[in-house]
Amino acid sequence: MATNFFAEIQIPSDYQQAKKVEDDILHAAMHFDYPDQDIFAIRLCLEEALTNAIRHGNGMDDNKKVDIRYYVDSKRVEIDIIDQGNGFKLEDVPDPREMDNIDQPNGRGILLMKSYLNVIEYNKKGNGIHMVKYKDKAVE
Amino acid sequence: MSNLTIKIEAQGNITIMKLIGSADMTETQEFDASIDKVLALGCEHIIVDMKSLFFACSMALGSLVKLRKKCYQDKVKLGLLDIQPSLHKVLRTTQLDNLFSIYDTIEDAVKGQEQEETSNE
Amino acid sequence: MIHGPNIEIVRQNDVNVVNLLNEEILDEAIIAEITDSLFAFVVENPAANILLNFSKVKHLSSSALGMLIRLNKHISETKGNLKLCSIAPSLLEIFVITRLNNVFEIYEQQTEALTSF
Repeated sequence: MATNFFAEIQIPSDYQQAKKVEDDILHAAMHFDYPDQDIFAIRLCLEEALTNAIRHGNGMDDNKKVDIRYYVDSKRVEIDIIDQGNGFKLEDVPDPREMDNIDQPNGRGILLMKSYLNVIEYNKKGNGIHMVKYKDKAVE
Repeated sequence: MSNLTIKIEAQGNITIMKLIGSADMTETQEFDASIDKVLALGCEHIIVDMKSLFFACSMALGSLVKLRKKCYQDKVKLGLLDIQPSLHKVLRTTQLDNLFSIYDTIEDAVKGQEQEETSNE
Repeated sequence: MIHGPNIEIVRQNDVNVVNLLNEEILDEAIIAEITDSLFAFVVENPAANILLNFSKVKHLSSSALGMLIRLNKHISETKGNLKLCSIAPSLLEIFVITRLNNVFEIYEQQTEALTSF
């Protein structure tokens, strides 16, 4: 049986294709028996990161691609997602919990990822995200 | 293939919107369309039954926030019913649990909203 | 009928109903045993219609689901069919989160599953 899964994939800005990669990562985590709440967390963060890359980064432009790299073993899931957009600055994203923003339909993705991942980092340009979820380890 | 099934059921002046499956990135349009459909019915209460909803991304939360805004404008009462623990955590994380009235049973939802009405008067 | 410690296979017309006998399918050793029995059955019976009945199962680990994905792949390669039935609502959650409810045909009752083949 496999001791780890590693892949590098490029997809167009398309939700259906993003879902396929998402499923592969989830199935790999299931292979290593991650608890249900970890699987939930991984799916949630993948959805948020991929939606951000496709919608905000690449602006749904079919000609722009999303690069995904993942590594899964019995201890951790590590995912890098890079879009071909101009990037963004974390400090420009308002806190969706503030009274002024709580009524806004958008802007909760980053907060959710921060709350469900053990490690979350952006590259300098702001078009790439690095995510780590350790198996069965609470987020501080 | 669709991951989200939405059942709309009218019981008197209450409309129950039952969400089944997972509300993810590919389901947002359908979810928004169903919300518009429910609002077009022109009922007094909307109850979103979330017992069989096991996953929701931030876009789905956004749809719920939009629904709440429209309900507030149209003076329609809105309650969320029977939320799975994993999704309750998502609502707590985003502090949306303070924004919505959340109930465990449909009776509580109907009663709770009536109380809300009298306390507002 | 095939009867083992973890599974029981009952033939109903042209469908092989596999009853999972454990309340908990969490232990790696049990999952490995179930996997071996099922793969052996599929090798001996290519192109078989298989219905996995979960009515006795209360807890299921995610690696058990990983086993189901591999089994499903293997069965489709041998031109067989795998369907699932009688999954408790508490177990359904993980099927939905992992979108396996779209990968597998899942039926509430065994009777309706049997007529679907």
